[in-house]
Amino acid sequence: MAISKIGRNATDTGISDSSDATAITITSGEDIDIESGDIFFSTAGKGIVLGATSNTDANTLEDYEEGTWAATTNANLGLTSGSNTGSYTKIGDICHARLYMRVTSISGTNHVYFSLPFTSANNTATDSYNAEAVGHVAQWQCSFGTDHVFCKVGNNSSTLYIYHVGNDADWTVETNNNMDTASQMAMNITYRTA
Amino acid sequence: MAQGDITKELENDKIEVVATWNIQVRQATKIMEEQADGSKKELTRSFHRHVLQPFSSSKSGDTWTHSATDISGEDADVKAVATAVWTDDVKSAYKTFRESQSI
Repeated sequence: MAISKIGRNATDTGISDSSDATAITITSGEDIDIESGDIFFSTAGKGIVLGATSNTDANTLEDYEEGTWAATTNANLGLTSGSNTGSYTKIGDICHARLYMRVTSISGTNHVYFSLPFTSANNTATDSYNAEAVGHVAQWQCSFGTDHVFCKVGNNSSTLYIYHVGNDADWTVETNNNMDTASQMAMNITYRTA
Repeated sequence: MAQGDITKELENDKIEVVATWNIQVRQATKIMEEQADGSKKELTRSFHRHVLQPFSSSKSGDTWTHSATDISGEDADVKAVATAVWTDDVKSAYKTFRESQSI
């Protein structure tokens, strides 16, 4: 909508649209007030610089998104319809994803993994054991005894693996035979995206 | 269709190739309202995502197995990108990379 008028009252300057409604007000305190509507950029990759007094890439918030994704897993792990749909919030290059799933059928010894909504960053400064993210997993009806369960995604990957680890023991990737048809899993993960 | 009618439209509004072989697909669900002039005004938009890689890779002992990703159920625009991006060289590079990573 084209700007049609810039007016000024006793204290503030307002920018009005063609309907004569004030869209933007510059207050006497030199703040900018968006009276209605949102702010968006017509060019991809542009954003708002926060925490810097000049245009600095590292201080620019250029991406935000909320949505859902369909988490896929190994071929021998069947999930209750709809329970493989997670939700995510992406802020800048950080993605926080939530997923709850229930098992309906299971066989074999495949590794347990789930796909993610975004590809993780390829952090070449670290070796392959350094995950881009480690998240929390809660499980029910799974056979790990007292082991701690966690999840991680590696570099340049959209695959989240589930692990369990005991006291003074190596971590082990979870397999289908650690679960049964009553198993459930809830997880939260935060990771850096590519 | 008449003014005020509400329709739902699905559109892959963002298909990105990330780090050589990852194809990130964002599907937008748009709720549209028909206007007096027959045009449609978007009321809401929500997103659903998935990521495609050329293979589903698994490791048993020291042996890796790479199963080609089935894209037969993907939309035509996604298939076109996958076909163009997943060349033999890219597929080979993906396998090499995956096998260099720990599980």
